[in-house]
Amino acid sequence: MKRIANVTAVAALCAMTLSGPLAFGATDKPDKIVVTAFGGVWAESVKKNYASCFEKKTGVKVEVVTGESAEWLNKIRANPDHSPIDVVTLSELDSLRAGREGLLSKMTTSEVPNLAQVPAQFHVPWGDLGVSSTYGPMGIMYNSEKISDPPKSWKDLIDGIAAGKYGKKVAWPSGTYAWGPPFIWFIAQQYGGDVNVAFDKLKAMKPYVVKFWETPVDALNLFATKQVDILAYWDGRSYAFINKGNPWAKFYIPEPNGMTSLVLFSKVKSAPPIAWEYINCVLSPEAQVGNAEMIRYPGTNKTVAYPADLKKDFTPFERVVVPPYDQIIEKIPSWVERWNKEMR
Amino acid sequence: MARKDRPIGAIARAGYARAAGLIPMMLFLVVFFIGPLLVNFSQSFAGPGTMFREYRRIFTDGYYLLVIFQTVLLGCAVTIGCLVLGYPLGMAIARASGRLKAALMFAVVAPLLVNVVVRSFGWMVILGNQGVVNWIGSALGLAPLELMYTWWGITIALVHVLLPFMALSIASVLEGIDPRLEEAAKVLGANAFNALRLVLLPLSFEGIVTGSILVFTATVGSFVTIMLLGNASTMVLPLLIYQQLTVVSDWAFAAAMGTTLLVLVATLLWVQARFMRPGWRQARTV
Repeated sequence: MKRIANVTAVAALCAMTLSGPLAFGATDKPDKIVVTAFGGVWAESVKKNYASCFEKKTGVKVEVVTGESAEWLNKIRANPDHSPIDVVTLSELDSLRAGREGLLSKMTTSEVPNLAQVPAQFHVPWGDLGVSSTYGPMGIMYNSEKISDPPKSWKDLIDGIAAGKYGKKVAWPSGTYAWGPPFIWFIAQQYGGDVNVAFDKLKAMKPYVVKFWETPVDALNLFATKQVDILAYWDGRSYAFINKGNPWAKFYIPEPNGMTSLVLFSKVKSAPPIAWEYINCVLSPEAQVGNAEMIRYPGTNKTVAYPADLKKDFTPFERVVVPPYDQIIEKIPSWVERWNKEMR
Repeated sequence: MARKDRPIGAIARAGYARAAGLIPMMLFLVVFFIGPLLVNFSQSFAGPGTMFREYRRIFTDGYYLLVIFQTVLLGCAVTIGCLVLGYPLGMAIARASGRLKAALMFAVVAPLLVNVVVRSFGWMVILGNQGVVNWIGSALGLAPLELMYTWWGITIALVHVLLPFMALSIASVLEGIDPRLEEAAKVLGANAFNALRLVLLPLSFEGIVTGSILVFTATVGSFVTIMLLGNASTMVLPLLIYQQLTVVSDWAFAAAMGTTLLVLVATLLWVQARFMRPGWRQARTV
């Protein structure tokens, strides 16, 4: 049966590639390189801060394609020898998957000198096949008009929510959100690392959660319309909301730390060597400040000095934790299934 | 020259010429429709373990069977909602003329001009605990309604956006019905309800079936509205597929669910198509 399946797949792929894009020739100095960016202000920042740096240094044009991680991973998988993307930005899990499938090139400080300025937690867990340019932890945004003294630690917060202390005025990330499974791991860490306890706590919180949110925009809508007083949310997005004339909203990272999200930049294996220079630009202090000014997420280069108005909103390296994605990746299918079945 | 007088060879050549004209369309279908379906089908066997593992997982687990049932039920509920609202609307469009007709058509099609995410956020504002519906309700002294994150809210939002498919399908059929048939029924003693039941409904049956097929297939393929307006208990097959692709990265399971959804829709369409057969309808109207 598998043979039949393979034959049909090959036949179908042959048919489909008749109209497929022409392969990009991998030479040392191509006319352009293709890089990825999330839409909106992310793409604008990539063009202004990263692409301009690369073009100035190499004379090679940069084409920015927008989309999202899973879509780009699929494009690389479909054509690994002639990838339509040269430098790809992937989520933590997709980067691990791409690395395990042999789709990415390993970087060293000789190819990317600025890598030396990036703390190990932002690239070593991915075997140096990817490096994060920014980081942003999940913390708590709350309505200070309703909650004057928010709990100091995650544990106190979760237990307080489960006890109904804040009423049904909470929004929390869903276990099926892109960073939902890592956040389940993070909750488990507050209770000794037992995932069963994390699920028990989440089930106890459920009656007081207006929605386990699936998208950040969905979550912000609940908070902005004051349907919830407590929102577990990303720091950069929270400060962007607070600084837009919402002084009643406050943000903090409960003790001991906050789980961070990363965006991993990788050179695709079939990309020309000059693509390394793009990643070096991404990690350069100038580009990191420029990017932080636009998207309000701090860069991972530890030598960067930010203006005071930015620095006050940035969570220091010491207060963030990167989940061990290489360990939890195998557990994600069962956690998602468990979430679907138990959190109904 | 009449067809019967033409030589057989000329008729065959004309037939071949017509068939050759279909080649570009057939090629297009093979490359962009059959090809991806075959890829999806083969992908459903690409996972580890025994053959049909993913399908066995779907059809032996009560949770996934429940999700399939919920998907079909939502499709039926939205189709019925669209039919109940769409028939009078289709009738109004069919019988209107000039500017009123244009205005009605625009009003019906307007929801399709708005992006699905923006439209869903609009429904959040209307259906939320502090939304317009509950604001009016509390002003009238009524108890607050729980519409958000329930099947009710999802059904309302989907009926809103899919109503044009039903209303326009019915309107196009009603426009072709001679108004004198309804008048004749009334002259012969039928009241308005019986004229509708015995004359208009049977004659507009094909519009109803067409609209139902469009609404049902669009509903069972929806996931953005359901993701934004629902919660973990309002799970449907497309949302599970989305999860498997974006969070779990289990392509084999996602492909198996995709094939299951396709077979499910194809089977239900086949059943619906049988309703359209004149023999079936005549047997039940005689």
